Amino acid sequence: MQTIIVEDDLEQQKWLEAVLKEEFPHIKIVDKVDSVTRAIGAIQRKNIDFAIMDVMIKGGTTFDVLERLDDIDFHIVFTTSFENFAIRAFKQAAVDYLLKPIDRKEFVTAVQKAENREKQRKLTEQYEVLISSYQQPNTDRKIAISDSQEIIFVYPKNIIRCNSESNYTTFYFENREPLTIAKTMGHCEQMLEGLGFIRVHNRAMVNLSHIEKFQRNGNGCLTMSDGKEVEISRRRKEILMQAFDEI
Amino acid sequence: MQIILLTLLQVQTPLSPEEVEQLIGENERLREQVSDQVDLVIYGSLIPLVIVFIFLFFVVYRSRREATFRKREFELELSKSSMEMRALRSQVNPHFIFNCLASIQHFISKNDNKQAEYYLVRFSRLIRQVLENSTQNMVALAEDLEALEMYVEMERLRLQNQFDFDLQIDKSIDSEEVFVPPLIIQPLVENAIWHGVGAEGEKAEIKVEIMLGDKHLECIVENPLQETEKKKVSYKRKSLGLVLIKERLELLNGIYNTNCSLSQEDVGYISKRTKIEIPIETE
Repeated sequence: MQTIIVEDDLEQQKWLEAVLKEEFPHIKIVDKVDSVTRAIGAIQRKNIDFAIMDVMIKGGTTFDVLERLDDIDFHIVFTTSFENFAIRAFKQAAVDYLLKPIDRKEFVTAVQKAENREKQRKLTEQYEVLISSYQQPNTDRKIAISDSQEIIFVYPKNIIRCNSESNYTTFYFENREPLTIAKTMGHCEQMLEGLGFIRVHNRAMVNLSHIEKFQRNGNGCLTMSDGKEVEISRRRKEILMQAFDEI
Repeated sequence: MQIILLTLLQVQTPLSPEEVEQLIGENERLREQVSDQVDLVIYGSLIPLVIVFIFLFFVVYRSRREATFRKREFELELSKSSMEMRALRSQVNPHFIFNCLASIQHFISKNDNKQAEYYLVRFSRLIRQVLENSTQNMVALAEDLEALEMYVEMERLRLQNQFDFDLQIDKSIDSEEVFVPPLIIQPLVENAIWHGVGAEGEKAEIKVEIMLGDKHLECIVENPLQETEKKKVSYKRKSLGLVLIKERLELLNGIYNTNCSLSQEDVGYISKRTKIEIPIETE
């Protein structure tokens, strides 16, 4: 695997390099760069299979690099310390990211995953989602949802609702079979932020545009466009009422 | 002429005392009648005046009342926002932060890089979780306990496993659907570790038990009493952590209209038991 490290902190660069050499002696580090322009140049010149990219780099962000590349067919593991806009984009594109300071074990797992995955066409599509999510969350653009088997790309407007059971969340669509992923509702809430969804219960989130009926009995209950009923929690009712007012 | 005048006067004068009485009486009656009418006019015009006055009184009273309400609301908002800050402060005990950093330093100086790295990453995860939770007034009990477990793991690492931690939650509690003020249990556990885990000797056991009360959670944190603690006469002195928790509880009681409290008792001379009632929200 021809690998590039894009990171503006030189000590962090050294750490990544050291761990890679120790754990993956066969991986070849072809370049280490710290800025947007250098990253673009290096990636265009060399045949890259794998990249480790920090979000905030000299001259901009790692998204600026991706935007200016024609075709991205290599795996990327992103690293970030606290950039919420980036984390939301990672979630919407279902790509892997690591939080700094990086856990050695998590890093090793992420590299192994990249190694084992064959080059797939979907990668380009995922990065397209990533770039558009980073620019502006938009209901007219697709987002990526991934379970252990596959990644699907869907328009947020086609998602009717999500339900969670401990660490698993099930998505219900108007045009395909439900999909269960190993992510918490908190993760999915952040992923769907700004896309017209509202969490009406700790275990349930609904697409506002798929609400058909609101019943006032008890805490209230929503009937969704798929005919299913969703219970509203007492403590979240007010937020829902506010959302209704805004429509 | 004079005669005529005289006769005229004579005609005018022959009033008998009865007639005079009658005239006086008449006069009185007329006067009373007039004064009645005047009264009617005066009182009649007073009624609308009184109504206007009452109306004004109510308007002023209402606006005053509203002002008091608004003031109280504002104060509550203020106390809520200051509570958030207080929550943050009580969660990230500076003492604990620096202890963690000192531990990392020890690993570095011993050249135990792997351990230092592991410890640092755990520490950053905990701080991340704490920062996230402290932006919210209430978090799911499950999330709060996750942060608590992370904290305990750090302390166990730091104190080289000198204590066991036993967390028991009542089966009737759905920790995903019960919401609590963030990290209100953690300072109690920190306190229990501080007082219950000795420098040497056998392994201490820190127990936490969470039960569902009437509209609140009841949490009992138990730690063994150390030899030095038993001897200390003034060990009942309240620690700063507990004082902060009490302040937070008072604010929460105001907001949730509850009567939650914090109390401590010794169980024989063996252990100390700290009991806290926590206001909750449910889904």
